[in-house]
Amino acid sequence: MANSINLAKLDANDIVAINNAAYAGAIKVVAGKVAAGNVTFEIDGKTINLSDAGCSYLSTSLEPINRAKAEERPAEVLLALAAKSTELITPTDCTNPTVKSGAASTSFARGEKELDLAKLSDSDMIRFNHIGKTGEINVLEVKPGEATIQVDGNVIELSDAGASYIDNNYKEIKMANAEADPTLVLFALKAGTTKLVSASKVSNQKIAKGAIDTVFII
Amino acid sequence: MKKIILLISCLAILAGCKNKKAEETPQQPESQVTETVQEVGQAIEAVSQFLEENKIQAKSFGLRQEEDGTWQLNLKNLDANGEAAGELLKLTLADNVEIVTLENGNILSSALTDETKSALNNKFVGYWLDGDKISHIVEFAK
Repeated sequence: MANSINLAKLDANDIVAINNAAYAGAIKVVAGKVAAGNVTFEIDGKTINLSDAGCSYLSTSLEPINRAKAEERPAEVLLALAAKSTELITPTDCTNPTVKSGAASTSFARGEKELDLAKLSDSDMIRFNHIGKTGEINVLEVKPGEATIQVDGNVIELSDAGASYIDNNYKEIKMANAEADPTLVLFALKAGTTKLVSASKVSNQKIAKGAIDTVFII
Repeated sequence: MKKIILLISCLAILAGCKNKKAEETPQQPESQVTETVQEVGQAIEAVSQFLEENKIQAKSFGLRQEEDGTWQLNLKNLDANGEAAGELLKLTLADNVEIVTLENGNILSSALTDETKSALNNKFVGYWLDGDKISHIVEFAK
């Protein structure tokens, strides 16, 4: 976990988990749109532009806001663009004293969109972020094509033969339901493997294209 | 487990009858009443021993509801060192199973819900089987 992330150092395949008391999500860069003092990036499917000249703060409702609005409601500032840079920073590190003192801290961590459960040790703790929601995964048993896991305390069985997707209410769902609204899908068990994958990375393109990234962090 | 409950019920009835008889015949010798109480005590002790011997200790990882509405407990039995070991077991709860949680004294019935199903997440439990189904669960501190 870090207090900042430099977008210029990310490539198109990278994903970053962002966590604040009021929001948890995933950030990725938009190719060719990162310059000092003016960055465009994507957070949970929403494209955001922050710049020194315009809005340099992002609210916890994912709206770019200017300094006056950030000072008005510092507790609702999720992150800020550091001046003349490509770095997104926690509002608690802002130079603006009103924002700095009134904000909650935000952390950034490089994550993954795919996770092989068989390669984890018993002591590994897995977290995930998905559109404002964060949770914890514990592995109970895993075999190729079958996984029993606890997701925020809910025992979930994913399998090739049964339901291989989980929705954001922690219910096991089958492909037809996942296709009906891919934005509700948290992640899936990759067929024939021991891997959990973000819904945006499943082989079913109808689901992958409509899904919002889930980021896994160990 | 049904036999055990039946046995306990019979003992309770027996004790009740003998006490009632004792009330009806106040002149009954005190030694006879004492003998009856001792008999009941011994029988209860035998039942307790039977229950203890047939209790399986395990670490419970939580309940999950199947599509048909039945509840399944995910657990690993404890080895001789008291550690959860071996394969993950997925045992079905019998109808009307009672789950006693010792920490707060509450009793959960088989009418589990999404809100109460996490009561047995990562807990140490003793359980009894009736056939291949769990008939009773007792949580214990470790």
